[in-house]
Amino acid sequence: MATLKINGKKITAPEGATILEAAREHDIKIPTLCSNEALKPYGACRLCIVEVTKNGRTTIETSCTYPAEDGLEVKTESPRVAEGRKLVIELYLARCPNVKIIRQLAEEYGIKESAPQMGKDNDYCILCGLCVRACNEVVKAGAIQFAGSGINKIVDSPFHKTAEDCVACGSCAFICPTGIIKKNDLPSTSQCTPEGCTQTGAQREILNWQVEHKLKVCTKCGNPYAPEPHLTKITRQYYFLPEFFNICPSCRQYPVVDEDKCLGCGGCMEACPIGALELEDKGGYDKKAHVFTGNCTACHTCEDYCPMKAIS
Amino acid sequence: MKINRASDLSKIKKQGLELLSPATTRITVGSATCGLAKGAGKVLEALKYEVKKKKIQAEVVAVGCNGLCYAEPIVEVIQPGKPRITYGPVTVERVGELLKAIKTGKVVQDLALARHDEEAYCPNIAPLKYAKGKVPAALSGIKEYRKQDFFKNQLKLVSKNAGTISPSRIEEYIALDGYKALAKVLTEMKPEDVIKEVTVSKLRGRGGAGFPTGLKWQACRSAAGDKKYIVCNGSEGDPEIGMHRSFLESDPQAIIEGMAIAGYAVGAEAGYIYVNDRYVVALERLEEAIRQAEQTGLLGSNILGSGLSFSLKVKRGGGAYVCGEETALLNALEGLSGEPRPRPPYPAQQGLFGKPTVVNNIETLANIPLIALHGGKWFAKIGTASSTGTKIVALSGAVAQPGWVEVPLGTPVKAIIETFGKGTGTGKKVKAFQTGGPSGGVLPASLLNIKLDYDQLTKAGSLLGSGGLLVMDEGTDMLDMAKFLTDFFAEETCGKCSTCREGVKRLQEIIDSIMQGYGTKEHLNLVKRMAAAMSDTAACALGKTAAVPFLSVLKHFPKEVEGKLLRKGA
Amino acid sequence: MVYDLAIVGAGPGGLHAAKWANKKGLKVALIEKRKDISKITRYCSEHIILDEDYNGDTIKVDTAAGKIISTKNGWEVNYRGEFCPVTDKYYSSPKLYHCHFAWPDKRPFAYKYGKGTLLKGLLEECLALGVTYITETTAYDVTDSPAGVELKCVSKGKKFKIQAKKLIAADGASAQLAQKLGRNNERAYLGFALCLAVYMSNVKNYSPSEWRGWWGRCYGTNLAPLMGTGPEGHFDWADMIILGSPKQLPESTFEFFTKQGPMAFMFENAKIEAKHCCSTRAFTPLKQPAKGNCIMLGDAAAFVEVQAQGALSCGFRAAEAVAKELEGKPGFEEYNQWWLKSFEFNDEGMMQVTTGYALIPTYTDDEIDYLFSLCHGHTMDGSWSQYKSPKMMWNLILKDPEKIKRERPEVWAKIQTRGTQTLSDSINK
Repeated sequence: MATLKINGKKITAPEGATILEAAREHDIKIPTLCSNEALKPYGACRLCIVEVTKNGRTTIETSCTYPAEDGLEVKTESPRVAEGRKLVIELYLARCPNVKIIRQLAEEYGIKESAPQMGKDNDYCILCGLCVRACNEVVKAGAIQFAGSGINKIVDSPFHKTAEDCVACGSCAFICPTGIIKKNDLPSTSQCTPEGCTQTGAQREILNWQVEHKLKVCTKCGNPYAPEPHLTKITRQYYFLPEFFNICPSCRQYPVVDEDKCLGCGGCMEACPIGALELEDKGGYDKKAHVFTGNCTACHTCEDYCPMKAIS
Repeated sequence: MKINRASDLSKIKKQGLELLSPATTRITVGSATCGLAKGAGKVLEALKYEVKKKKIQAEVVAVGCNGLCYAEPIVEVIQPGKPRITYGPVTVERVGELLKAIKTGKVVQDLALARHDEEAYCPNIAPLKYAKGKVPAALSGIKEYRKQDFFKNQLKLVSKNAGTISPSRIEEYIALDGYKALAKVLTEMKPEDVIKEVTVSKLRGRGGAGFPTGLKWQACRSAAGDKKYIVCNGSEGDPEIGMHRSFLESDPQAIIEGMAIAGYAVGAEAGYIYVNDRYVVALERLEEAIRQAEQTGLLGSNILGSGLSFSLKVKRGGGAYVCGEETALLNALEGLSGEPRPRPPYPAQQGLFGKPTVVNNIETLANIPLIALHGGKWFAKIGTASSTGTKIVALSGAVAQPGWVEVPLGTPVKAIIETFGKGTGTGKKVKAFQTGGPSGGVLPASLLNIKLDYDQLTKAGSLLGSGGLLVMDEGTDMLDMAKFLTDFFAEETCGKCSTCREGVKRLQEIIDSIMQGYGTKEHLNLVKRMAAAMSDTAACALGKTAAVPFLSVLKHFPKEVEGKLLRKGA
Repeated sequence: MVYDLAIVGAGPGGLHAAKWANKKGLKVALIEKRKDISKITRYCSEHIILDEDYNGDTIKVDTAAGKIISTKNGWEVNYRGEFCPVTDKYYSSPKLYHCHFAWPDKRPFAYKYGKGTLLKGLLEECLALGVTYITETTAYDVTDSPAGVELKCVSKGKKFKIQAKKLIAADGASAQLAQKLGRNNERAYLGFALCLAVYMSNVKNYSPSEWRGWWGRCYGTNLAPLMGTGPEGHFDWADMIILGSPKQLPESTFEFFTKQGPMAFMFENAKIEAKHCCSTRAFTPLKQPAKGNCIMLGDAAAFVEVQAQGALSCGFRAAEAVAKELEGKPGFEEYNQWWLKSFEFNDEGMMQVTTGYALIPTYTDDEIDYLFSLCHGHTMDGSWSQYKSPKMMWNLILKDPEKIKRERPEVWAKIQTRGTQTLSDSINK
């Protein structure tokens, strides 16, 4: 536990927390562009800067990376912070004048335009790295990366060709704050000629990485619901039985334990990849399995692992 | 020849001394990249060929650079009992003449630069004598080196071996008390004692930031970690310097010894030397030096029977300016993009591969054997109170005699330019100068009396940096200079943080506007605002100082800038 | 709060590691999904095996003093419960030809013991030493980095994290944490098996000192049903052990074996007293259980099982390994070397040997009868070992190869294919 002051208010932060996390726990607002709680802090956008005084020395630091330590005095709004933030927003406006979130940010901080003496580009990527980091840290596909360096930095697939490691999960499109990553789910089509009909299955395309992949179709409801390569990757990476992904999440059902059959061996708990099962002490020798449906993803693994067929 | 104990060093020292002043003649050729670029390689070949053909009893040896870059190729002649003569510039056509003079005991007058009667190679220890008895008449006409401006105003401690020893012969390094410091440290001192000496010496990082080395080592020693590393930054990204390259080509063993001592002090068993990939000769000489140190047993396991294990690897890098930021260097070493990491944590706690790491500049490490051998107190007496020791300064730009020199910190810049550079050499007066590379911006001639001191230079808005001294004469267009330096930042920015990447781009545009005549006072105000905000918000020193070049030109040469601005009604 | 060591799983391995790590001065957190580990509901490892050099150790049991002693790994544990000696092993063919294993002096080659009692005793010692025991908590995910280990845990539906410098994953054969660390990528996956154990009273022809198995399709399954000693307190009950899969549930095999199969007569008056079960994944072993900041302990790194004694040794050794690593010494390297040389399944010959049990589906029931008839009437050394026993059996069977070539050439032809079937095939075919 660390005790520090933010804007004069004394707060405690759990071990290992950053100033940004501590501030957010206490509803203190700090703007960010490149931070996401699922990803390691990156420190690229420089928007989250705060003034930190430690042992009498004052510096400007990014709150998303700086650890919340004992005895710090933090100011989230000070003349230096305001000036720094203003320049950062102006620089983003100069780079991406037509990107919605940048315009919103500028409006929030009372900035109309970037300084007229600055040039203007018309980019749509703010190089926050969220897509790259999601692909590498969470999905672990590593299909895209930063390419070029310095002023010419872009996010790209290797050699600007089709991203071969892309599993079309769409995490990049989901996490991109500007909407520049274009993901389209296309329904299946059939082309009929006098010779016969050809079917193209449902597909997902991610235009930026020149990727096109088939979508898996649910055997129950018939709807395409997720890209096949992503499902294959998950099956290998986590412990799923191959048939599991034949059913889409909407059609999946949650496990029910037949307490008469359950012997409390715990095999289902050992199979569950997400800890959604526990054993309840029902008194005496008996222990019965219990499912926390809030945590359960209905993957059906436990069903197969029950020796007594007590889970359905 | 394996050295198992400290006492074995004296045997090798004897061998080395015999090589340095042999019973026959020793002819050395300054063969660092600067000399090679001027033809020293051909001179070396020609000398070897002629010596063999004419059956002259002489050994021709390639040595490093002594700093007299303006007079290269440098050839030195050491004959038994006679003073050492320095010749330059010696071209291939003059080789025959030179050898004739050696045979007949004469001198090639127009090429003779200096004479060493003795070699004062180590403070507190009596110098090596070359001349025995009276100096022969033919040689007495050449000025003794300690009477010449170039030598007498230097304090050659770190560079004492450069230009004298062969970088490919570990015996010659040992002859001039090489590895004596490591032996002392391993047999007489505890690791904490070594750190104490470095702290007492007040040695500050010679790469740029000037951070106290003792503090850095102590932080690394105290950090928890099962593995620790020493990393030597030989990236030398500043555009106007090359003396660290020179150093690696002249005295690579000094770095190895410094790193081994550092490893002992902090508890690291492995070190990496990161060198600019374009430094082909430096890399060759460094790798050969490491091989020789390993074969001799001065690197590897159980060094000098002390139980210390230390090994070194050389890694090649792109020579990027951003690798002056130690966390970018560490990322590059790990095979990642050379971009800075968020600090904290600092490398001393979590550095290379997440382990506690000391990152030191080449020159910082080259100072370590001296401090270990002669003590921190001795070192702290040199220089000024806050900037102790010496600094290797690379003189370039508008100077008559470019090269590098080693002076005590606190030496006024004016003295360096006049004494060593011998003025601008262009007939024009000095207009401005730059210390510390592009991040130091420019200073006007009116500040020439400023001392070469970390704090004084920082106070004046510049910095000491890695020791480059770029001189500009009155023919220099300062706005041009600002553009050149800002373009350098634009080339070198890693692009990670928005401030630097976007900021430098905009600075380029603003300078272009001004130079094309469209600039207004608003442009100048914007730069001032940007400089302050970039200094606060950028992720590393590159971004923080990217606006400094233009800002310093604006501050010290306002008329040149304002003169170009758009006039009302124009 | 960052622990020196987090241990997941309060089985024999995890408990023993916790005890010794604590004794070495480490701050230990022991995380266990159950509330009461002394009540055994899962069928797993209930024998002490006395084979000499079994997995690199010879275990001695001091029934008087109540101790289980490792003579080669240097530990001993207190056990205040009951022991039942096992002296005879019978593997029977469809026509009841037997492969019989026993020592001439009828000394036991294994002891049935009360696992719940053992675990309870070890837990009490750990708690007395001050081990932090975090119960009713499942550690379901883990990340390992140079900075240390972070466990994602859930207790009664609420999620939280635990941080430690080092981790011992003693979470059993399903190797869940090894899976999350990607360690199972280094292993071949052989399938998963379901197991049912039924304790019955009044079983005819049952003797507590016998271990029995029946090989043949006529018994209703490819995986031989086994019968062993009842639980502590009721060694007079028989323990029927049936393996199965989702496609052939152990329950249905049990029904067949006890009600319709050739051995149904044994169960005419039998009463079911209790049922246990378990399901487990089978992998080839991890060659390097200790890596990064984590040790995969015991069954979590094994070819299915190390047995309780193996787990106790692993726990003992792992505690030492972790203590050494925290001092900057190569404890993990030493642990890996010990693991490799101690456990028989790390031996190259291992996979070959397991094929010795893959009699079905290769041989017909009649052929199994023939093979076992060649052993019938002899008594091989008393041995529990899954590696020694098939070796002895096949040595006996192949004592006179000419006889087999002459009498049953088609069986001889099949014998040549020995080594191409694997245990995985038996389970999955």
